[in-house]
Amino acid sequence: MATFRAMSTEVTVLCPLESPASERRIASQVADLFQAAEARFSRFRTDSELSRLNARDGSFIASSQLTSALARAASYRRLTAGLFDVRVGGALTSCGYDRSFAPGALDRAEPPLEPPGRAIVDLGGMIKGHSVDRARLLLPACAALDAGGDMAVHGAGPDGWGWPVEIEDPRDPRRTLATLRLCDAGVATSAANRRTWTRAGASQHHLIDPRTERPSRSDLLQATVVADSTELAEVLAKAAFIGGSEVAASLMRRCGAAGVFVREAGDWFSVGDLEVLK
Amino acid sequence: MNQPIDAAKSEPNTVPKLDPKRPQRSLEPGVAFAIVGAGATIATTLAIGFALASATAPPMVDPAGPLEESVAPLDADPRGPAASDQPLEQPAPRRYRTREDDEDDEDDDDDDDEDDHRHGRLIDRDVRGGASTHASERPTTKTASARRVPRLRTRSS
Repeated sequence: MATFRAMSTEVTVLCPLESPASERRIASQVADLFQAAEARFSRFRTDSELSRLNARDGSFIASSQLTSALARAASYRRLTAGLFDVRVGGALTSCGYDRSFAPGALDRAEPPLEPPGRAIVDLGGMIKGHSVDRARLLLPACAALDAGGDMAVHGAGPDGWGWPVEIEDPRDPRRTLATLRLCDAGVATSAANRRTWTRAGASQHHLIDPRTERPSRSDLLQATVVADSTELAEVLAKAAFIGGSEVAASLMRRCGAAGVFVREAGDWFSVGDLEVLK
Repeated sequence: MNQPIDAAKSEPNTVPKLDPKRPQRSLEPGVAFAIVGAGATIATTLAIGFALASATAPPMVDPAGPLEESVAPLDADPRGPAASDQPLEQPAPRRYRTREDDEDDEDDDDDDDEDDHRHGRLIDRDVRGGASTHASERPTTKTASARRVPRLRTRSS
């Protein structure tokens, strides 16, 4: 197991059938990939291409990587009927999420501001998922990559029975809600239990509903999605969390994905073909 | 010293054609005897080689005892005689949801979107990564059973 920090989270590379030296070498390549993506797509780094796009005054010549990311984001927006929208960067900033997250760092006494009139793009979660997918190409046949809970599993796991992936209980992070057995899949979870802060005493979180431009309020406490790619899992988990349980079920069927969803009432349900072990 | 080859004097490199009118002769008696003699020599060599190999090969049966005793009877306790008095551990009860269950659900209400919901139920299906497989497709041997399966945990970040 080799770890490094990128995109404000800890990234873990697991290659259980490789030698430690080989695992470290792979992790180093993965780290380079993550750092390059962060340098280009971070909303908080003034020298990133995304920040220059957000600060543009007039036309902007984008790189092929940024153009591709924006095109994918547009397709995801259509896929989720607008529940996933990267143009919520302004709403995030007005709610107080204007710098890299750290517990307590965003707490302020002032109330949230009105979102700016023009679109500010935030590609954070999508790019993290995309980086996991790209890093997956560097992994050996049996490997897993965990970027702060968004992950990809490659192969059938070290024992050939699939990778066991625990789902955290959003009501108590020390507890495990359920365990999945997965092969060759991307996994992502959205919940409002970690990336939270206060603004004028009111709790805020990072999952913005594009329809209201405010932190989402639905009947879901957490959405975990399993899809072919981690980027798609990330997008669908966010859209499902914002849309609520009925939308989540519909999205999973429409996109051929599967998921486990925790309602505010405390019960949970799964949708799609998924091996869920208690 | 190399001599130049006179192409005109050299024999043409062709396969002689059989004359269909010429009677085909059988093997000369001397040639037939030579072949029989060579066959006998090979057979003798093989016999000697087999005898030597048999003398040096490892025994096929465990010398510690007769073959019958080296195979445990089918009804014997696999944990050994010391554990035979103790009850076998019962696996934790698990509910299995089968493909037939799904089909029954679909029959009950084909148009109900709730078909795909599994409300907190324990499901044990041979489905991984969204692709359905049968139990027989599971690997019968654990290639890395000695290795610890790393802990993966998905959460919001």
